[in-house]
Amino acid sequence: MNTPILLGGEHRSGTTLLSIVLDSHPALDVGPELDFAEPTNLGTLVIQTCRLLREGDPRVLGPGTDTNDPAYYDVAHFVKQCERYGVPPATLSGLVEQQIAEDGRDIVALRDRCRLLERIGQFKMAMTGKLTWGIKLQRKIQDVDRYAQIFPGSRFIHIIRDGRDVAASHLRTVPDWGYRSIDDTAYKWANLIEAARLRAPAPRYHEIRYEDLVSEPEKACRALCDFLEIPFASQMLQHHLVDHTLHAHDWSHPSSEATKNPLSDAPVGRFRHDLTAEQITAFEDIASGTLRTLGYAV
Amino acid sequence: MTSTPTTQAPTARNELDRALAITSSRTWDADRRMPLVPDRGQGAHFWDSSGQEYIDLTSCTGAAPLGMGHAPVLDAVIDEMRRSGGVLPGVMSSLRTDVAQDLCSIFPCAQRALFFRTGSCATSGAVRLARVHTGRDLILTSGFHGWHDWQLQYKGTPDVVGRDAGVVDFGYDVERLRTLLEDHPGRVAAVFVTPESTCMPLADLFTMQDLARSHGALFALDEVMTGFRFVNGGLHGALGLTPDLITVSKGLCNGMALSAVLGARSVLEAHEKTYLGNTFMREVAPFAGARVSVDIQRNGATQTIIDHVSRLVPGINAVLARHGLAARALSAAGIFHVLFEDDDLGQRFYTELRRRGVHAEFGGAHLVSAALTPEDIDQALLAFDEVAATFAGPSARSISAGAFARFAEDAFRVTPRVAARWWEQLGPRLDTATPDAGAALVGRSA
Ligand SMILES: Cc1ncc(COP(=O)(O)O)c(C=O)c1O
Repeated sequence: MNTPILLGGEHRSGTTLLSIVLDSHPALDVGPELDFAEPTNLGTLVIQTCRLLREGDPRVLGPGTDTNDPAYYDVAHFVKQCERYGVPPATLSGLVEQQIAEDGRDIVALRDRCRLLERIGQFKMAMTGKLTWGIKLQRKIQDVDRYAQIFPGSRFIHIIRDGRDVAASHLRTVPDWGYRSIDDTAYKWANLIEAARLRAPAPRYHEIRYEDLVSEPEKACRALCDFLEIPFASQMLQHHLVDHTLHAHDWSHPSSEATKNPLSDAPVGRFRHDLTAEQITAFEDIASGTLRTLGYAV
Repeated sequence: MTSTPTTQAPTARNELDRALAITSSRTWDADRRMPLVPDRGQGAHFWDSSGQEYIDLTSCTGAAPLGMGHAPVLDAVIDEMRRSGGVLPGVMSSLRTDVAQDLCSIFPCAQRALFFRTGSCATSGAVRLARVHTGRDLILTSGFHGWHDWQLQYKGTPDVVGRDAGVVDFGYDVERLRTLLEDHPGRVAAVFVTPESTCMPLADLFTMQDLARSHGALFALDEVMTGFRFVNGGLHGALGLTPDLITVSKGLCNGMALSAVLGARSVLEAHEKTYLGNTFMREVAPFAGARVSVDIQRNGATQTIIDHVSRLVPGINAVLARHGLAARALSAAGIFHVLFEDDDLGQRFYTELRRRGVHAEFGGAHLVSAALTPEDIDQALLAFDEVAATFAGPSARSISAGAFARFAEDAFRVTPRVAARWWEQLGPRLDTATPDAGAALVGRSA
């Protein structure tokens, strides 16, 4: 079996939903995003933060993955994300110590960070008895070529959603942390898609449309399984009936609640009532080319 | 996040903390640019507040192409301040007219000149003139033009500040530009581009110019960076482009704030219909400095800068290759960039260079000054060599398409497709004997 499965896409494109749907497959263990590149290191700093978290130190706590001390944000965020993935701080700390001891160096270089991910994934597979592991790369899917090299056995799944719906979701659903302007969303959305498509190693890269996943789930899931070379499993269509580690320790993950519901196509085309005519035009002024390429009517 | 080098003497550290506490930005002033507080400079050398000496490979981000404290310019400025009083009740002066005449004789596209203080002001002025002249609202743009709100998409997230809805960034993508022009017939006032001469296929600029003209839009070139770093009247002069408008600033007055919009008389005359004034355009001394600065550059200093680059760039490339570092320098005329496969390594490389007394900004354009001496160049190359030795890598391979794309997307805001296209043209040349492909492209006129 090829491993890992790395999912990505623009924020608010259904990346978490896709991870949960895949995680419902008996052979797959697919977790949420791990922001592994941002902390100064994934070694000594992670060990220290795991200890502070276990001690309930206020510096590393706050609402959700936030921290009272901003200096700890990146690393505490990562540690809490690992817990969402089912790797509690005590275990994570042990895995990190193991790697540092084996390598004789801290975990700073990107390749070393990715080796820690591999170690975390292997641990998860051992715990769950599943055949492959996966996480969300989120926007890092734009550097798919880089991760394809680092993880030679990896497969990439890129979920794409109509950018105008993405913008509506950012502006209306998550105004506290989402992109705050139409323009920003349009540039980022279009460039991310263009980059991933351009750099992806064709046989290891699969695209799925959010719209297809929610309106024709069986067809979309069968295509996913074909790509992953595994048999289709009907549990994928019933993700809300399967247990997921994200829901056990969600640290207020922004899409945790929504992914407890059955698949629904209600959000498709929400931009028509959630955005003003000027906002739609502004988005299309910037990204009409990409929308058309993807077959979204402009 | 980069941290401040710990090698600085205590006074330098204190000065940095004092600055950050009350005025300077950690993001834009200290971490990104230089984590030290410079105190005084002379030529291509400067000293920080603890007395540590550095060679400057940035000419103060292009503000002083002749070097810091260049005596002929200083003398002209000081003399003029004494003679005229420095500031006058009106914005007109004989010196201003003289400088306008000088510029119109140097830059082929220039029939009139309008002055401002900063590059950002000039580019905003060019946008206003284009809109007023054409009676159209849309500006299609690529590249950096400063910090004003009309081009907020460039740096920082444009979240809370209202952006100029009539500006669309096409990320140097000729196809996106074509689509935008076709989608908005009769609405585009200007296509406004910063030429990134070290990396882009310069033929694209002709395509953009043709596309703009065929849709009745103006073609404007932001030559704030390139204006005085090419010998024959800016980049447009060297290439034979015929923009309707250009903006210049760096090098106009060595060491003092001055900028200009230059271009076709008919376009510049749109000024009659729109206010573009500045109180401090009443200062006269910058025009005195500009006359001298422009004259010195025209009479050899620009060529000297280009000669420095053509020594530094092959030297740096030889050092990088010898130590097996996946990094390459690229140049065009008086500008060069150094690209690293690994950003973190690049960041550390430049911190180490600074520890050895050589200042340049990682990822930024290296804009050396004419004031560099042959000894400075040797010393800078020695520092590159020493630092490269400490980071010695396994192979002499060049950089990858992915690394180039990350660089170009960050530095120039190109679209991913454009990064790939530029790389197709640039990549194969990087491993040849003359990696300074840009210089070969643009040519070095005597
Ligand atoms: C091409 C270009 N345009 C505009 C500007 C903005 O100039 P200023 O920083 O003087 O506002 C710069 C400055 O680096 C520039 O390089």
